Amino acid sequence: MKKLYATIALFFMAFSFVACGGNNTFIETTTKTTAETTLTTEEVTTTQDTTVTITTTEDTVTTVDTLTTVDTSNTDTGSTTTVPLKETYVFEAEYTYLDELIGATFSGSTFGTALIVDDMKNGGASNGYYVSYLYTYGITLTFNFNSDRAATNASLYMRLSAEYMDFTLTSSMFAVVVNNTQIAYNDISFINVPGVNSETIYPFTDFYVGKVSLLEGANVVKLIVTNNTAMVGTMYSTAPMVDCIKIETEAVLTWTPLTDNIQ
Amino acid sequence: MKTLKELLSVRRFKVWLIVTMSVIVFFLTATIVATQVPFISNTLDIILGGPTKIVVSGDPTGYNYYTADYDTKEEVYVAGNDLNELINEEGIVLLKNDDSILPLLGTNISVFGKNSVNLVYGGSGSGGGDFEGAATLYESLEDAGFNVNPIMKTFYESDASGDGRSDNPAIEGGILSGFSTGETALSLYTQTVKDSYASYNDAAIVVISRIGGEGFDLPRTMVNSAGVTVDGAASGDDHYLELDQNEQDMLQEACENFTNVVLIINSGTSMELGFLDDIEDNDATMNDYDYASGVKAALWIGGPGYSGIMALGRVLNGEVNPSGRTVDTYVRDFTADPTYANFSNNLTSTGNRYTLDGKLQPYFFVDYEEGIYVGYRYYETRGYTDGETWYDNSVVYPLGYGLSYTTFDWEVKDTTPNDGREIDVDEEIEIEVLVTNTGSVAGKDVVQVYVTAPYYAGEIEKAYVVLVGFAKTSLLQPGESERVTVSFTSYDFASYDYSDANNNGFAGYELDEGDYIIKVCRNAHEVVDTVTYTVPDGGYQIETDPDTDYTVENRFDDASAGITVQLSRNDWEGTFPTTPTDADRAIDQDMIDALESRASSAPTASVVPTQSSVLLSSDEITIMLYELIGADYDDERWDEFLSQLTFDQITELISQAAYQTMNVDNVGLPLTVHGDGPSGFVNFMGDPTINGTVVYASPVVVASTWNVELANAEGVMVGNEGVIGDQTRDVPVPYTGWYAPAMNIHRTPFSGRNNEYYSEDGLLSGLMAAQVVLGAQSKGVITFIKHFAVNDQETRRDVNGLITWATEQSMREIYFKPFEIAVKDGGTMGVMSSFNRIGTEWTGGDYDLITEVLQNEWGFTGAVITDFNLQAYMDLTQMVEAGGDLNLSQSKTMSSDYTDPTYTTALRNAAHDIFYIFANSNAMIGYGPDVVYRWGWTPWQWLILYIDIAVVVGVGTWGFFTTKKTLRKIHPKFSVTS
Repeated sequence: MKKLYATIALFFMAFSFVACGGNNTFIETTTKTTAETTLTTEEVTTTQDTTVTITTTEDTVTTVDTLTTVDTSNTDTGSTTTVPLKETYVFEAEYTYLDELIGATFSGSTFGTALIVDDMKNGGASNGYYVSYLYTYGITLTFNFNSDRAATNASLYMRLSAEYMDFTLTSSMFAVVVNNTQIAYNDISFINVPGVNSETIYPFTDFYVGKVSLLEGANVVKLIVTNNTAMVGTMYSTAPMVDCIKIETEAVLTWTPLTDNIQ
Repeated sequence: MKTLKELLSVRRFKVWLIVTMSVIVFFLTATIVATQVPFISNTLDIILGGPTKIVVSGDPTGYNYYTADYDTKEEVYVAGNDLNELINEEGIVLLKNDDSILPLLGTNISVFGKNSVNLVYGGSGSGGGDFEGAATLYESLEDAGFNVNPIMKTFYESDASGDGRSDNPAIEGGILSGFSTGETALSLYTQTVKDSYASYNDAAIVVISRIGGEGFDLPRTMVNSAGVTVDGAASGDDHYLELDQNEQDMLQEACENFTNVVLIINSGTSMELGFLDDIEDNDATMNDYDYASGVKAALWIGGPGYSGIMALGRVLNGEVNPSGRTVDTYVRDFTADPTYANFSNNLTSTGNRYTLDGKLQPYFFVDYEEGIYVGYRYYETRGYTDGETWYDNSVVYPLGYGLSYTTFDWEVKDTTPNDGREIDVDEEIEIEVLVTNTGSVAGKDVVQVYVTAPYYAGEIEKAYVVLVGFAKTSLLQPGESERVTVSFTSYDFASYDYSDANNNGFAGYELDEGDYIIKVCRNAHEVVDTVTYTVPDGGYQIETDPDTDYTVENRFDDASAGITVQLSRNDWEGTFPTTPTDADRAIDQDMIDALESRASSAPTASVVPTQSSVLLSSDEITIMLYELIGADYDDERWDEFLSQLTFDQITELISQAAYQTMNVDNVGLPLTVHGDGPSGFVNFMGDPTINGTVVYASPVVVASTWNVELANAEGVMVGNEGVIGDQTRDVPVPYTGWYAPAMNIHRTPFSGRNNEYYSEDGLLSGLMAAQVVLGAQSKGVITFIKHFAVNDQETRRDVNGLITWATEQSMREIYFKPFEIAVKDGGTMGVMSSFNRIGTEWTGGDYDLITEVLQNEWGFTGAVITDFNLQAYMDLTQMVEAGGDLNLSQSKTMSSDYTDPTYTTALRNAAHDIFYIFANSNAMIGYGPDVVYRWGWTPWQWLILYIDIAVVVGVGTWGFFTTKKTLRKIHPKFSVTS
């Protein structure tokens, strides 16, 4: 027990040093360790180049929902691994260009910014809104953004939910296309989806798509409904509800969100 | 305290205490989370069952305001499917029967067609249903005693015959692009298949199928969205409602190998069937083959529903004599129809989209330039003006057409008033016809009556013939006769002169002076006898509604003005509808402003109604809803009742009415369950409350029976299903609301939902619908007839509200007519408004439509619900001020500004309408003065309770013995006498 207390104290001392340190960025590492991991000591420093140096004494494990991944293959005590600092950029679906989109509802269709839904049931949609009614073949959400550099190791996530029924989404049903390259991803299953008359909705969850390559300059990520598997009513394609996409990269990304979509 | 300290000094006790505290905290937390976190509790409700209604006191069985004719859900299910077979028996239309090959004499038959193993049973979306396990064509044939070629059946069931049609059409933005029929290419027929013909050669049954459904119209091209001609198409320029290449080849194969070929048309809408007669179609993509000689018989069956296909075998073997009649005009060339240029997207991606200063706007439109000349109104009229050759070259089968295995003679026995007399305005006319079966088998016949009104060139447009009534005989044995009477009034053939075309200073319903020829007909084109009446000089101007005496006047001048050139019988060619040009699609900012306006045209009120400011408890309530069961709408007790409600209660009830309405417990309104759609209680959004119900034939099949008694029987049967409701609960929940019947018009064969609607004719639609309404409402089911009004295409119907331009004449004479009849004759207590606009105004927010026409002119008393509302333009304040009542949505909120007299008066009126209809519905079964309900615990809540008790008992018992042992250890001389 005393050893545990000492380790934790050292960790916070190191962390404080970094937070108050003269050089650079406060690093917020959100990690959730699994039961099998043990992180005994950690020293984190930053440099002017936003490069993070992490010193570990034992294996580390990349966790499910951390957005700062640490990959160390060298587990010797005192060893150091230099990894670029990554930021996570969030691109809200409700801020994309929706004007020409015609979505499908349980009975009928809807158009343009009417695809945006207020997250009144607290499904955890970032920014409090999400895009639904994608239940029609070919409908496409397009995320345009810029990158200050080419990057080959960006991580792409989609934050999704579902309604009406349980289903499994595959990459052939719901295509993710990054700069004209389709990305295959693991199946995503939505189980125990609440009924539409429920007071709740299926909680929005980040789903990892995969590693993607970014171009210096303009980039495009498209989410496309590519199936004719009817759900219910006039929802003639199966689709999720989309909160946002997230890209974790060392590049600097910028975009112009269409905030007027929500009035 | 000392003892406690001593106990805590012992490890055994400490362990018990820590474990017990941990366990208690864990189970307490779990119990709180499960019961108090809505996501968890709702999920558990869905999986393990929700709360149940429990009778606390009183006897609900004393309040069975409506009773089912059957005891159990299973019984009504069987009875409903039996009735559906009967509907199909009378709805199947015999289009052709050369050499009287039907009924079939031989029993060894071969069935052709990939869709024979994958029939179209109904529509999709609202018109759909669960067809898992539905009767098959082959079951029908075998049940009727036919030996069906098993080799061909196996062939079509296998992949060797191709993939068949897609289960799910690719709908992109409401448009169904080129869609393959899925028919097998002849090249795939193996020699084994061909060799099998010889053993099953008494007849070839050739099946062709077409889909339809909510949310899309049918393609007028066979090129898909990728620009590729779909498999099997004869040409990319062909449309979906003509034979594709594979079907042509298959039919030719059948004709070349079989003497007796019977074509089965499994389509909810009409098709181009000109190949069945010997008149040249000039269709360049049809095989050069004499199909007319080869195909000796043809039967239209529509969408049979779950069990209805069983009727076909009985028709083929003669057990049933077909008596169906067409409900549409079967036209030779659909592309020559006057509606073709103004429908859907007008054949280009932006052809129906408005522009402002050259920039595309999010507004779509449709022009009803054909005016009143829809379907037979056009073809019979132009056939009259342009001659029989034109008619024969244009029409394959007229409205009301159908053959029989027997023959009938007709004789007009009596007319009231007498032939040649002058008639009064709104005079009741009766035509009595003696129908005699002059053939050798029993059969039914349909007497149809049409009217030819005097036409004056350049004045009021009038169709040459208009259906005013019909009657179907009972089953007549050979030689048997029956008198049938067709009744109607002169109002039924009045014209609506919206533009004072006859320059008499009056705009409204009129009967021009002159001779009115009443035609007793076998169909819209074949006259048996006539009676002539006259209207005196000056004619009649009908200023008020004949039933309510309310003033009838133009209310849609803006919509009429949108039609600058309408089709006229005075100049067919010069006024023939054309596709909108770029100039036609250009609008100005004023129109945009009108479209974006949510302004109400309702008259303003001056006083805010008095509602309760707080939610009243049961002790404070002075009048409960059950006390108003059967009360007249104007009963003074409604004032007292309505005043008990808060405005918040009212807006919540109004705004969240998607497939159910909320319970308002303090005044005794239970939750009511509503189901879609026109084929029965077949579609429900949400949990599986709607279950075990019958999927009836598509309404177009019901209409094809021309039998109003059958329509009524269907309504009653649906009503029975409603009364029995959901039997999975401790206290059954009836199905109270029914989003049906649907009665928009078959304006064009390409409308995707024609299978859900009855006919191209408003009167036929209305009379059938009225009977369905009467039947269902007799069992306390509220029918929300739909879609009111002028919603005759699916394309862009709800994208900012399709802007529908039509003359008020066409609206009142055709598109409003079925609704008017369903209100006046059927007494419907529910109406569903539509997505589209009439002119620039959304129908659901149109005061002129919802209040002036529907309620004031026609006398409607009930509730109006919107169509599925997720749209900004479907504004709830505008809706309620227009006279609407319920919002079909689960996510919209209403204004809570209760200071506006007009808005709050509208809220109160809406509450009145809503409570009124449900007070007179099966929702009130089991509600009476001494009956008290409460909501009981769910099964999983009981389970958690038992677990918690077990845990407490367990740790408590353990603690007892642990404490005892510990005390013994501390004080060895201490003992507990057990």
